[in-house]
Amino acid sequence: MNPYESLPATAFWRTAVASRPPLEVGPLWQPKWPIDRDTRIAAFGSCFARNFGRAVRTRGFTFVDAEPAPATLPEADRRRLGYDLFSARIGNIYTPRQLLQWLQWASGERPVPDHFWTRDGRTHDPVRPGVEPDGFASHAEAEASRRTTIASVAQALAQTDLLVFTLGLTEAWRDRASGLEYPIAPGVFADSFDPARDAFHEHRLAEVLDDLTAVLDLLQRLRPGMKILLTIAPGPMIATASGQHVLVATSGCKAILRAAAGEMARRPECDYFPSYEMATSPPYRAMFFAPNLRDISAFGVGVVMNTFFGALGLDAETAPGTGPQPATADPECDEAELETFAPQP
Amino acid sequence: MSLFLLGDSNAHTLVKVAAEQGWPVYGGHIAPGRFLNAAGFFTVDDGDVRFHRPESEVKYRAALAGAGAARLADIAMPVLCLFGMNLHYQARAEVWDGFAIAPDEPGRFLSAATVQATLRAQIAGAIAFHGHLAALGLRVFSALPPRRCAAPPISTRRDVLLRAEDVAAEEIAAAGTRFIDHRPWSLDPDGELKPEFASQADSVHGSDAFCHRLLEDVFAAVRAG
Repeated sequence: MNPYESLPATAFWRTAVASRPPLEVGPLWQPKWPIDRDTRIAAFGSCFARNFGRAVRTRGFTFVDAEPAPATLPEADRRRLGYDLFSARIGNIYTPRQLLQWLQWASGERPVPDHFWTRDGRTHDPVRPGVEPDGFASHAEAEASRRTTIASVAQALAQTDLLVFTLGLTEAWRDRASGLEYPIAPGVFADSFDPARDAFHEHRLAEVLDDLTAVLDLLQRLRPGMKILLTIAPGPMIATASGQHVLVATSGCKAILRAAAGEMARRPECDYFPSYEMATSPPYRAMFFAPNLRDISAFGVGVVMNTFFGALGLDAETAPGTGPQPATADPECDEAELETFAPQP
Repeated sequence: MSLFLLGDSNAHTLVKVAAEQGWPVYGGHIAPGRFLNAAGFFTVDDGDVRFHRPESEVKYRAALAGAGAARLADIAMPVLCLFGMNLHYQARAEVWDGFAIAPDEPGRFLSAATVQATLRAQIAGAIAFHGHLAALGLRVFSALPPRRCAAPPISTRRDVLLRAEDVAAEEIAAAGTRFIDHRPWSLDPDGELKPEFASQADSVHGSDAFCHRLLEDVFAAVRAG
């Protein structure tokens, strides 16, 4: 008699993985709590988080969009201007610290910084640089827009039952004086990098845990009972400023995020959805990646989301992911801008 | 010098005034402006267009026949096209309520880029129509509607209306249409339409005096080349 004798087939790699077709490996996730079409779901995070919002809407679930665009704005403009992607128009946020900043501003726990970037006479918002690609017409306009987004985050939180947050990166850039963390380095979208003012920061595991703990604690104070579903963006880093090879840096980054997500998922109000494993584990042989080996293909997104909804008892879409396959980095992803700085091969 | 009018509801008074004055204006009302905005309200067809809305197509064919043309490319006179100029509707509360378009106003603030993109999209079909007229080699003129805010249920937002004026003027000019700006004479120092230029029959259209003066401007522009 030993402890493994009574374990199910899913506990053994050979029976659960190696001997099964890759798309039949599973079930990989069982939700901690019921999620149905009446569950009000909000989504923030890195590029992959957008897939949740889109899929939730498509499947007829209740997606919280607290900052909608005018009804007549076409879809292409909505995407270009950062609407419909998340539950407020905050663009990509990659680290728990960036989410924490937004939550603290929205809750009034921290003052909103008066900090903006400029380029060619236009004003850019450093905490959501991608939502207004050409910049705002004035400082006043940028400030008003940020104020609206912060109010929208507060509004979203007040009506959210389930917050999906996709962790993306551990590398970030900060203002040395205030500690304000940006989702992209100064100089990429606007302004310019000033080593005396701006600092590179690598979040270590303990910091990620601290920030996620602060996020979850704050959410419970704001809306007791809110559930949080963590995911990890499966796409590798587009670039690293760590000095390591980007492949090694990616592995370290995702390991930290994965460890932190797993730790947080021990809390009763938090769960972890393994989209990262679905994309990156050996049985899938990178089949869900686009040709650039970074973005997840539409097919891959479809399979991941079918897994999510399948666990909720819904049928799979019959033909997941028939959309175009990106050959270069996903243009809606702020981090994609970094690719333009890569040397020519 | 004659003029071929492709108009929205403002065309009714323009045609009436032209007839009273004996000015040679052909064509007229094709459809309410809201049917002349969205992408796809017409199809390009061998030097011509076809309107998808049957009533509009009938009126358009009658307008062509009245001008002695079988198709749009055969129109030999300048064209006054008002498509895309129902700005009171573009600025309607249904779309804009709850939003602020100035940084210091209450409401969910929309950046200038968002406002412009929204307004451009709302008249994209009309602008495509203007572009088609230019592609046919026609001399095309257009003008803003009188600056008026429609009463409920449309409930025009005045601040959006002013932005819409700028966007419409830029867009039609970019499409090749010559923009006739009546605002220097039609507005008072506060930017309001002078009372004598407002129709008393509704909250949207211009008076006979407005249409008279506008047609004078258009004919002057035509003569000036």
